[in-house]
Amino acid sequence: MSRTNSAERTAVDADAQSGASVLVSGTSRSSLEEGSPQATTSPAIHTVGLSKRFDDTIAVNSLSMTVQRGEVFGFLGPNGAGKTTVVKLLLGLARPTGGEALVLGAPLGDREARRQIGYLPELFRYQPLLTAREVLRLHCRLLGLPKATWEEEGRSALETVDLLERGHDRVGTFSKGMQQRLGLGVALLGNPALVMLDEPTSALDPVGRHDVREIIRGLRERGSTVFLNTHLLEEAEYVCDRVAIIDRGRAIATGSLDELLGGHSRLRLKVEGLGESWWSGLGRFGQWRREEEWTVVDGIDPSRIAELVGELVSLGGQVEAVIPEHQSLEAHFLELLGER
Amino acid sequence: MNATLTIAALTITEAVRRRLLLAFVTITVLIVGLSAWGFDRLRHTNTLTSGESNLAVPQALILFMFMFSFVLALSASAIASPSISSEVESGVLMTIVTRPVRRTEVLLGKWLGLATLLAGYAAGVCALEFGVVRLASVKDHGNSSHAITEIPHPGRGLRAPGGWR
Repeated sequence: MSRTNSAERTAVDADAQSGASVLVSGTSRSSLEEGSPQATTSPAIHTVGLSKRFDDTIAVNSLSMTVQRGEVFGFLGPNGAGKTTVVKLLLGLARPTGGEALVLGAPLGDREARRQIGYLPELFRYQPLLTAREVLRLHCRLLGLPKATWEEEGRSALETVDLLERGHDRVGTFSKGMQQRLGLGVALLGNPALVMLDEPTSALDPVGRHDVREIIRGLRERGSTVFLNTHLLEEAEYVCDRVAIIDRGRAIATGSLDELLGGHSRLRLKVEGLGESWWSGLGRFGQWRREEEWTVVDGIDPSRIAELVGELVSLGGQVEAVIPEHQSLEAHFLELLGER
Repeated sequence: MNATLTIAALTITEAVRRRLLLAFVTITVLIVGLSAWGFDRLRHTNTLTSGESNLAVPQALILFMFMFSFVLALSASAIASPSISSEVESGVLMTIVTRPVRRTEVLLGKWLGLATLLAGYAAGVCALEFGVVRLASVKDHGNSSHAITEIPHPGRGLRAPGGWR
């Protein structure tokens, strides 16, 4: 592949295998370093038709998505959906076999862009013979941070992930959860513009998970973009502004949680004093079904709940309970995957 | 270059902290100690004349260093060969290569670190061995020094005894 120093994307390399094109050059390094408009206004991640094929297996299938700066973006999918492969492509650890992608306005694998990316891998392992502080110092050096800031960066990261007291202990003595915390600390070094977290709470207890959510919220407050790769939907519901659901390498749904779940409101009613005949009128409000003494209306427009209740009362019904329910992300996820 | 030196420093730090290095040092000291005893016996045995002894000491030293070079080469392979593959498998390297470093810098840094470590180890062992030979063959410092100076050139060392006569 060739590389140019042009400030604009200039070259597209034809991919021999798939016939798709792969972006190979883009924003100059200086524009990123100097915080030019392109560097700060371009999306954090932008992919168009990104694909990765391993022999006969298509790991990523023409993935197109945009992650805006400053948002927490959840990347959801079942095991083997291709989530980690996408992360590796975005980090330049693997080469796409098709499509285009820009990360922080720069082509995949750009060294200066990587200086602004913090990454916690799914398989987090750090040098077991180094202390936590030494690991953080190592990454400060690799990031090219000024030496005078190393101690403060390390201390701050350890404090954020609640490992300050274990800073002088060797990583080999850490539990898995502590190593994952350390990995999160490493990802936070240098105040990165983009933090990519691959299953960041897989080894953590409930307290640790809560802490990670707080850290992610803190990152959003300070303007960092968070790309959260997870299969824990509850986690995504708590912290994400937008999500993409990926299956077999293809995004099957993308949007904010409201957009994804807003059209799936459900109403649970408990009404006495009405005969079977009133049910027929419910079809106007949504799909209904009986669950013992409850009547469940799926897909009801939340603004029409008052109208429905008013109609039931006018018909002489005694409305004992009205419980609006939103479909959980998990339910929507399963529905999309056709496992329900 | 900075990244290369960082990886080299990391490689040395990790190697120094491994128990493997401690085992190497322990075994080396034991072997050098045994060789010192052997050279002392060689020098003080009654079955050899001083001329034969002068012949035997450098030859034994050459043999010892020749064998040591093999051990060193094997040790270098044993230490270096899994250093990258094991880090790839364990995932340790994953966090390094996502930083703004080239993969060639990582490779070069690993090589530089291991090469520095092994060169230092070889120099240390040679100095130690030469020292004990000198101490063990104190009867005639001139001869023992002569033997030592022949070590870096085994071919010359093999010819040297004839020259001494």
